[in-house]
Amino acid sequence: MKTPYLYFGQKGFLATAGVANGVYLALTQADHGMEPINKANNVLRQSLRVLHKGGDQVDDVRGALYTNDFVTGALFNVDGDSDINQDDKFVGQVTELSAQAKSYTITGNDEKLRILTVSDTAGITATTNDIMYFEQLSHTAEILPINTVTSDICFPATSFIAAEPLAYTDGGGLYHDGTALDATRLIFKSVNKAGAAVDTVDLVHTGGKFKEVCEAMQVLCNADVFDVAIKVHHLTAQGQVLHNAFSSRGIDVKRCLITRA
Amino acid sequence: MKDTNMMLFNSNATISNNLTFTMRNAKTIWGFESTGANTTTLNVKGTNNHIDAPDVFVLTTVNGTDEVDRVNRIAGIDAMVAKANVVNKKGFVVAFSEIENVKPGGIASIALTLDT
Repeated sequence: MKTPYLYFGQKGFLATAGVANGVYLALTQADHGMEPINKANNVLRQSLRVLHKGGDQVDDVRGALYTNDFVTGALFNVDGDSDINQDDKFVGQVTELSAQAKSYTITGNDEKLRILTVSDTAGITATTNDIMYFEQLSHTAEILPINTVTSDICFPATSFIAAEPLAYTDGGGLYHDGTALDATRLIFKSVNKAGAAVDTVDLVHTGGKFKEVCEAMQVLCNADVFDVAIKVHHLTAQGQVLHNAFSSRGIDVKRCLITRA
Repeated sequence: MKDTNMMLFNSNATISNNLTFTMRNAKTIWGFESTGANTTTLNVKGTNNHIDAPDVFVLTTVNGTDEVDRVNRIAGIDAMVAKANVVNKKGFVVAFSEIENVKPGGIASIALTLDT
């Protein structure tokens, strides 16, 4: 019997509250879909985008090297108010910290980002109302795993069991640009315990699209593609590849978390 | 209508046991996953019919950069997917054979481990 095969590759993403000292929780494959390796402060790491979004107004907390809002492109200090300076953060402003090599380090193989404070021109001093966004953008050995179990997985479509929505509240359930996010779990018979357990692929995706995710899976499971695996989602060195069955339904995928039995 | 596909795997130039030559029903494929820079596993239901562990074919592809490795591993998966979806009622499909030099998708070698 012919059956399509569905291929998924992992993609890491986390939205988390700001921390004043800049030391964040360890990123893990199990929870966030990524484990970034050590990074020195003279290395620009384009595979991991680090964004800061202001949750409240605080003066004198943004390093001088950051001048423009990542989303709007607007200068931070141009709004006609002489009391507002480039280094003051306001609600909703998004700063691309990873644009500066020095902005953060990871040391000791602990997968914890250590973001400099405003004491450095590439730093920012966050408050707990702020949100930090850590997002993997490409497939590279800078962010593990790249070739071990849970880095990717491929199922026969006949192993697809169900899709179910997951609660998603990280970052207030919002992406850095303000769009809503939701999560959906895709459940398959396990590739290594097929009769005894399930493997799951958890997608954090555009909000309000659970039905569309189900539609996309229905289409892919009934596709007449038998000579290659259908690449549902994965990262390459150049960036993200998302199947048209998803993107054509307005679904963006921010995190793809593979959990194996 | 039955259209069961049987896949033949021959991993060694000398056929000496069930690790070097085996035929599997394509319906018993549980899936694929990367396990190393140039290795991917093809997991199939074990010949012991256990439900909690597979027989595992390790598909070895050519090493290169991280990106080349990724592309090669996927090419190996694609090749096996194509083989699994051949419908040939008059005979099995040769998925991989050292003896016949059938090595699709850039797969250089295979190695089978049986569940026990």
